[in-house]
Amino acid sequence: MGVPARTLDITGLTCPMTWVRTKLELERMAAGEALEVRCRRGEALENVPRSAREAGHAVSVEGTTIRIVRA
Amino acid sequence: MSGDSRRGFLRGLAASVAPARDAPAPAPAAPAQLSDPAIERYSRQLVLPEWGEAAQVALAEASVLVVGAGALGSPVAYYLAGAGVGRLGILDDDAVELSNLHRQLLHFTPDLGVSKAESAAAKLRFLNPEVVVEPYRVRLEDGNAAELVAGHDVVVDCSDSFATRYALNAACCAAGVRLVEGGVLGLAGLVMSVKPGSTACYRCLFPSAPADAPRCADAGVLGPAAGVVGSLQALEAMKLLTGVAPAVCDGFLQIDLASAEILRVHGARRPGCPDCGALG
Repeated sequence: MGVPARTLDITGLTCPMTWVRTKLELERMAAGEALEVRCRRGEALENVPRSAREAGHAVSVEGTTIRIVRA
Repeated sequence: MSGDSRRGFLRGLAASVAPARDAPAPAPAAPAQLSDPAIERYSRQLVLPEWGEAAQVALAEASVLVVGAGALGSPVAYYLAGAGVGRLGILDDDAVELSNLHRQLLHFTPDLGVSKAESAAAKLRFLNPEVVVEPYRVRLEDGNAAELVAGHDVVVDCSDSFATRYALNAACCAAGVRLVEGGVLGLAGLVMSVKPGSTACYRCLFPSAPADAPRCADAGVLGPAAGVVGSLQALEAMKLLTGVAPAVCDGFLQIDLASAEILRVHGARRPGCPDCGALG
């Protein structure tokens, strides 16, 4: 986990653009690379981690930051 | 920007992405390809697990010829333009008539008498200004089919005659251009895709036209039935262009909308087929 993560700010977005932007960013990354997504509380914090897990990625959440390791 | 230079631009963009023609290929470490407005316009397809940036760029890079701008061609062209196919050729030599309007979604009452190719192209440009739309006011025949088919990635047959169907099948087989066939009559329809040289072509499965084949002008069709068949043809074209799911090849869908049943009929390439027998 020592690899510096890419970051993505989706605090200004609403569903489904929150996951669309996150998904596109993940598609542009290599397997094993990490992405830190900054989001707002509420819909994004509930749905983006769930969508990322369903897509097979490893996900951890700390506050309003979602850390996703690309599968 | 002209169609050609735009295509070249898109080709350059797509060159750095994993090709997504017949196999879905995620593009690890690929650079950003889509503009912010494009991401928003296509967000409801980009969000699909099966879809993604590589599929979207493959569509933007593609050139599709829609033969016929009527009951089938309207939904086909509408969905392909909306989905972001980069270049759409719309071929039709007819003008809009009052009796067309119950099923030909791209034409409206003020369009009566206007070329169908031009009428359709105008609506498609409103729908998606990013798409290069090229209307062709000609009738596709044996003599010009090869020239019209050349340079396209997929041809969608939305014509209403067996002569056009066989001319297109032969031209697509000769040029190695993938073809989506479709037909509708009354409450029944048929859809199939052809990858020349690797899957059964239209003539493999239907060696000759039925002797008593009625034309739409004689036989009638319900608008929504044509909409179903055209929508399936558009989906087939998108599958062929992106590889996100397998197209209906080596067989056809037999669609009976009276009983609401769709049957997948399996078939195979026919040795000695005059159109594709000599291929691969």
